[in-house]
Amino acid sequence: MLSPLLLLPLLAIMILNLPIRSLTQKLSVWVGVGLSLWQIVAVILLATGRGCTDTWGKFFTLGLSCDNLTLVLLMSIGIVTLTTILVGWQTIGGDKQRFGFMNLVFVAMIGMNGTVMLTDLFSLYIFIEVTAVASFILIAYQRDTNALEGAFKYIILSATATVMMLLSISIMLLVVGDTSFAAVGSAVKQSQGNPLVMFAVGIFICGLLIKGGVVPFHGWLPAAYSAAPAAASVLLAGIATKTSGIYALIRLTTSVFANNESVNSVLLLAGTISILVGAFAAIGQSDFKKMLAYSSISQVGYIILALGCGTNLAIIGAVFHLFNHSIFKSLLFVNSAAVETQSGTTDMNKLGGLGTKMPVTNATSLIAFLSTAGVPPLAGFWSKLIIVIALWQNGLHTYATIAVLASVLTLAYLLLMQRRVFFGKVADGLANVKEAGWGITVAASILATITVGVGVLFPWMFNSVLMPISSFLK
Amino acid sequence: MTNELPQVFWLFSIGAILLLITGFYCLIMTYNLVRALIGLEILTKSVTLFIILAGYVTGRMALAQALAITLIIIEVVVIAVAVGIVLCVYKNIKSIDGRLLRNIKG
Amino acid sequence: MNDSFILLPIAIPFIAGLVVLLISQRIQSVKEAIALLATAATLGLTITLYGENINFSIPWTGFGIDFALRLYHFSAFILVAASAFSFLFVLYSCSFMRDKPYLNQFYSYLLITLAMANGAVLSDNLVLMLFFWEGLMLTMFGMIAIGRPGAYKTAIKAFIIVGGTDLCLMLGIGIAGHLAGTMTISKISLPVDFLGSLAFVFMMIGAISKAGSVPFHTWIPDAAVDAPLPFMAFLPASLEKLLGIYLLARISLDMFKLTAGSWISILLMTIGAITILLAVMMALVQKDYKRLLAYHAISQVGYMILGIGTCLPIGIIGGLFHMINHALYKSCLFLTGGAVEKQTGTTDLAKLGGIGIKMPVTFVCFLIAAASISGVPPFNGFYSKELVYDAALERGTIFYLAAILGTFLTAASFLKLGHAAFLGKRSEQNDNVRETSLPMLVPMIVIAAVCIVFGVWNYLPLNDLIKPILGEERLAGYEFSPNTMLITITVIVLVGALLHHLFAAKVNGSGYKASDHIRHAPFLEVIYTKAEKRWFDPYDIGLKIVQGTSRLGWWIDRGIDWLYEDFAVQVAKGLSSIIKLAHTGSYSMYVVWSLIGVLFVVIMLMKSF
Repeated sequence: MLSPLLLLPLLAIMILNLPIRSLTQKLSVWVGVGLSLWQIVAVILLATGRGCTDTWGKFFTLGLSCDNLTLVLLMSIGIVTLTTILVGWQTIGGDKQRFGFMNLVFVAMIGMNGTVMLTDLFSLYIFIEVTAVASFILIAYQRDTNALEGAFKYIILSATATVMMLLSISIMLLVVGDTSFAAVGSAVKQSQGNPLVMFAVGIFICGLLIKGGVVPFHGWLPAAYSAAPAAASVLLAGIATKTSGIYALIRLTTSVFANNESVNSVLLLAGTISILVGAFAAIGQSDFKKMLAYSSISQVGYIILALGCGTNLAIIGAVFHLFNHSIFKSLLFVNSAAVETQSGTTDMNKLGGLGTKMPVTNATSLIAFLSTAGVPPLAGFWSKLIIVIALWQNGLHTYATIAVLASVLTLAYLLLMQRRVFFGKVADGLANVKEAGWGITVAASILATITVGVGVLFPWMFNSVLMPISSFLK
Repeated sequence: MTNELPQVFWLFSIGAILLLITGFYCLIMTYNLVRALIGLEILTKSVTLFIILAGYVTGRMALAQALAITLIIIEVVVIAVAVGIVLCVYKNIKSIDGRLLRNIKG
Repeated sequence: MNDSFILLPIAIPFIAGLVVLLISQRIQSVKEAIALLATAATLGLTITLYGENINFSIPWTGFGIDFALRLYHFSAFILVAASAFSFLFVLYSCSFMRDKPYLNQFYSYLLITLAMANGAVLSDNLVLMLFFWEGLMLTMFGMIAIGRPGAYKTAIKAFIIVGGTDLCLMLGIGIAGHLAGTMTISKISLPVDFLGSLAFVFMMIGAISKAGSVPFHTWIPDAAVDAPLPFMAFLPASLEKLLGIYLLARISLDMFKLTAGSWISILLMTIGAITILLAVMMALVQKDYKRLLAYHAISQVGYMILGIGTCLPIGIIGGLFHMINHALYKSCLFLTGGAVEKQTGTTDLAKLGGIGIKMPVTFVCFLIAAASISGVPPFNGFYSKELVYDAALERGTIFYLAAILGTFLTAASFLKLGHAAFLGKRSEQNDNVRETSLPMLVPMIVIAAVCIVFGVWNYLPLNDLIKPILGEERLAGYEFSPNTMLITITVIVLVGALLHHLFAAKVNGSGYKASDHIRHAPFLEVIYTKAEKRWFDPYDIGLKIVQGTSRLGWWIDRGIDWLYEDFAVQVAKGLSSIIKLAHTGSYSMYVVWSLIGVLFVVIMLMKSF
């Protein structure tokens, strides 16, 4: 069940690029929708006990494995990819353009699926790079100068991250002789206190923090998220950063670099700074998408903070917040796509009063921002609550208080955004704005339903779905 | 793993470390986009050297070679994409001065 | 029958309510059909489930808060009653609410209220019951607010009063749960020591305010005028009494071991007596049909509280019997009021008169219901009041006197109402009044018939419905023989009321002015005038006090405002601009940041060496 997740997109790319272009161009979107739906179904099948074994592994020795953390990520990847395809269907015109877009999305899917399923440091790096390359091209897809600027900054910083990760891998090769998670993990545990190993660990983590967009390694993030075209932002913000940066960090700090105190304190500090810098920067923004980008930085800070705490409950909170964040951040970006395509601008000073003209976008945006701010009974509230409780239980009272206070900040800037864009008087020149096309509204509704559903059903989900996530923390 | 290995490694890697520093310097200091890409290339090569060195010193040349080849392929792709972006930038603003690419501030 | 059928009385009306909300305003008959079907289905279901004992529990959130439901004879009885009433009222509303605005909200609120009420009655867990109780508050607000433009003020008043007492209920539940160690109602049985009595009083406040007793009653007369009439028949007349007295009975009988002679019992009886008298005095002088009925609804609750407060089996049975009787006759009265309103267009007693001949069926139902409420034998009100008198007399003559005085005044005011509305001279504009339509008549007739049945064959409800609630042990050794002395006194009082009315009508000129001499009696006039200016309304007094203190707090507020709004905002904006300045947009700066970050991380990691 696992190799198809990697191989089917590859197969799709190969088949779609056969010489019968004219036929396949029209089919590409359907294939994309089918693949992402299949991914969601596959995750559900895997989760309900069909076993995480690689039945095709006899033919392709890919060395895939999956546990509960992987399942959560695969589910997010499936959902966000589906959303991206729906948004792309709506916003990208022209068969040829759409075809190119779909190919890139398939490449990104391969990259992300591979990142979460493989158990080797170098393979991790390879698939992170695959995702990154797909993202570069996606960001620069429409070739306007701002997008190119964003893509270029991402490339440069991604290259820096590459350098750090590879440096670390070479040192691991030196000390351990192998790059698989198991080998590196045991070596790190044994050589507890070897400065070289700690240096390698630190450098690798820095590389991942750059990829994940954690302060102070976040420079590329506002530019890339805000300049990318609508569908690419959804993919990038929703899942690409999360998989390449944050998932890898979770996997490594829990199993490979195992609960090291200094690593934890680094993460705590980085997380807190991210939360604060992201929140404060977001308050003063006048560009809709840049505010969402800084909000991403802030929310990722929460995840890193929880990682730094290190207990079972904290890791569960981090993973749950990861899932929630991919859902509600994608939703926010889908709505920004709706606003952008319908009104032609993302400058909040020029927008206003769109709530009456775009009711679905208004409602889903309300749900998304309430979830981000952590308002019960939506999903974001529960994950933040778990994180704060875990922090408090561990004795990290100051960090817990900062996390709670930052929620107030989050609520503030998101409320400002909602008010400026959706409520109030209709701004000049926006009188003819209609609701966005069906692709965007369907995607937004699906994501909003998931947020509300997860939030409301949380009490029942807690013991059955969430607690087992920590089973990967052996 | 004996304790001498790291020391031998670091001795041999002085060249690679110098390349690393050069690469970063180039990347940071230049305004020219193409030169920034060259700096990126230099960085990549230095890291490749590190991997080869690690393989040489520990005797696992086969693994190191495999890693190095994969690395080169990936970097080629990345650089190709980067060059493509630089070309588009040139088409748009007729210049490859990185200081003109500071529009997304704040 | 599967145990989870117990969820259906909650689920069916709730889903139907949501469906009705979603259907557009224009397809009226579909909404009515759905509402009718849903309530009929619930009624059929509750009748089928009656007599079974079902316990249903699934874990909900942790900490002992389970989704626990329990069906036993008491809750089944209330369930059947609530569903039956809703079915009849939906039938009534099909005709009455035609062409009124906000129809889809009305039906959906009605259905959701039924669902919440069923849930509250069925729930076996205190927190779950609170959840449903609060849901009722919301739908009540909605139902009042859609009545007339400007009705939302009354809705807000109702919301605040009921909400405030709900907080007391919450507090009581918290203390009770803490004392008992569990939140499951059927497992709680607490002695009435200091904390226990505190919990009891808080929960009692919540229960009696829901039922509508003094001093939490002031929203009901206002709602009578502002809200749509089926709401009045549904909630204050029947459902709220059922729920409030149900909760009061549960906490007096099951949860706390109340004994006759304790101070709580005296407290309850006093509240009951005051409610009876206060409300009926106000009712006597009302000039609007609906307001008069509303005040009577408040007054009759006093009887129920008095009955339960005596803590004697006979009194408790009387109180519970009175609960169901009151639901029957009061809703019938409101329905007749609605019929009058619909046919004549007004409920002002000065403008009505002489329509008894024109609306014979309505008039007969009114007569039956009015006789029941006054306690005329052989209708049902008489029997339940007799039981309450018996118990009250045993506990204290003053309570008995209060109750009997209440009966006198009740009879007087209904004589006045009947005379003013249905008898007497008919004004011209009422000449063309006809009998109302069939969907409105059927519920009235059905309820009036049940009043008669519960009266004449009163052992049926007493033995099958009410006595099992108390259980065998408490009833052991008690006889229910009618006390002839009491009956005689009652009959004398009723005849006296009749005579008083005839005399007063003659003196004052018309039936409608029959209570004017009381209104203008020397001592009472002052009180009545002040009451009409709302001096005694605790809600209004509370509002004025709140306004006064808020003036005072305003100045303190200014200072804190500055701190939060100006200072904090400036700080946030300052930090924000610093961060924005730092992001220069140049990629090389970002790479430098990353390298500095790497340096810090490495230093932190290698610190221990």
